[in-house]
Amino acid sequence: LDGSEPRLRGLNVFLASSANAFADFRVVYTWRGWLIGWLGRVLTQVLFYGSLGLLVGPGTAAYVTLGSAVSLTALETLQAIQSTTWERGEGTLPLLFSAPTSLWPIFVGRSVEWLLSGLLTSSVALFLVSPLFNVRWTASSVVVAASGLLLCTVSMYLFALSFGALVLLRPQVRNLVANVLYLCLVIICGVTVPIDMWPRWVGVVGDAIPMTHAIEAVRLATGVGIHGGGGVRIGSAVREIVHVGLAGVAWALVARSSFGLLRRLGPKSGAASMVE
Amino acid sequence: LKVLGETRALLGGCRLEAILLARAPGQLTFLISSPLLAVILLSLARLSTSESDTTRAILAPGLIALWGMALGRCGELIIEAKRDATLELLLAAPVNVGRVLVARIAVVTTASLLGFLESALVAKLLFGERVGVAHVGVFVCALGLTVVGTCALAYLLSVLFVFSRSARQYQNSLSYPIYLVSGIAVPLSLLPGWLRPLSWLSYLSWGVNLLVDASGPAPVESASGRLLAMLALVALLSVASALSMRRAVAASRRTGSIGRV
Repeated sequence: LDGSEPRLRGLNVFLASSANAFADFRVVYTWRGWLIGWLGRVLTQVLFYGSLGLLVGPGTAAYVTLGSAVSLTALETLQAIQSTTWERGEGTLPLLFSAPTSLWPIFVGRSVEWLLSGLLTSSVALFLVSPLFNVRWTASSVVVAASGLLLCTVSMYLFALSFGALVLLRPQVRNLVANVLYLCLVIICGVTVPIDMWPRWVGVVGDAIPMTHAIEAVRLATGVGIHGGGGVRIGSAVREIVHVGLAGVAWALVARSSFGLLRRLGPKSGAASMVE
Repeated sequence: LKVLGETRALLGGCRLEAILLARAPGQLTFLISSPLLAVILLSLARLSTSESDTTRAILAPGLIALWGMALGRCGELIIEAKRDATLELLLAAPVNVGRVLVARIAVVTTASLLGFLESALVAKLLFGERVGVAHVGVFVCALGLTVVGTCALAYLLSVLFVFSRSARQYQNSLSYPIYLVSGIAVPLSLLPGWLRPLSWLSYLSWGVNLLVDASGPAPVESASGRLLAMLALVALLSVASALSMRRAVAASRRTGSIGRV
């Protein structure tokens, strides 16, 4: 087998593209900048929402903190929308269109730095910040929550890529789409209040988002309900994690189709033009 | 003639920013986010029984839009000016650089006030909350000082951004820590005691508390004293910003180092 074998070529493209992603990351952040600036900022965001929960009561604070800690997976991976469009800003998109490979492995690797960053920040928030709001962890709940978080980050990355492909056609709305999507996810995935506070259709949409199930899994594993103790239910938490995985597979298919659509629409829309 | 030139520079800054604001949808992100943030905060406040929590939840999206847009724009102004190499031209121009920057930041900050209106509309239409301001005088004074203070701080930060390698890092980091320390979402009494002195120094925390108190029907306790304290902080911040910009501009003209940053 050599690099010309199609599957292996895809893997090589993915690895080269990932190297590019991490090179980008090193330009944006130094280690100190990431630790103090970025990690500090996202942890304060979790504290911000957690303290809002405190206004209602300590149980609600724990509930909201768990939700907002898991929501960091979305906050971070949604940055894939912006970094996907950077290819257009750099003028490299026409070259990628004409390369003898599919766009899929390129763009899956292109923004993979956010996946790693998201996994790190959400883990710190979940396991180190939530105890400040009286969330108690056991070995089994840590294992369940950690696997839920991993699966959620990957799935939300695929979710973000689905939008990134389309935003490439209109790159000037990249920040708008990423920010608005995050706030919509906070509402429809039950980050701060239970989904049943909203009309029924919100719950139906929320069901299709991996993060909804990951948040539920973490709350079941730690026995935290909206007004405090809800009883630890590891079995139900594992079932929710299976839902995260299923939703993730569905979003992988959507993301792949989005890049297929981009391949078809790109040349017509001018996205593949050398002149912006 | 000098006054005429400076006024033209001021108006030119305003005009340029207004045109850019209308053309770049990205800058309006905060105004599209405000109603969504209002939904998030008000749904949580609904679980609480305190009326001042609801008031805070209505005001918070407006304050976040105000601070976020000013901070975001002062960073972008400098990033764009460095990228397009217009910063050197601006520094070489025979007008007060600061006046142009202040004019541009002020336009964005004024536009961001729509965030308060949007949040109030969400509270009234979606949550059926009673929205009103009981002490209009105190509210308007506190809001005015908050706007001026925010412009001054954004201006001070733009001095920092001129000399910084990555303005975006600061922009990203200065959002939630400020919201938390200023009591935008929760009263300062809920925060750890060691954070309080930081809040006393923040014009924003004085502004938030005055705005919340002025909205409710109860008389605002020592309103004039608190407004004076806030005025002093905002004045101090404005003087510090103006002096820093003057020194930074003089230093960069002398050393010619701007293009290399």
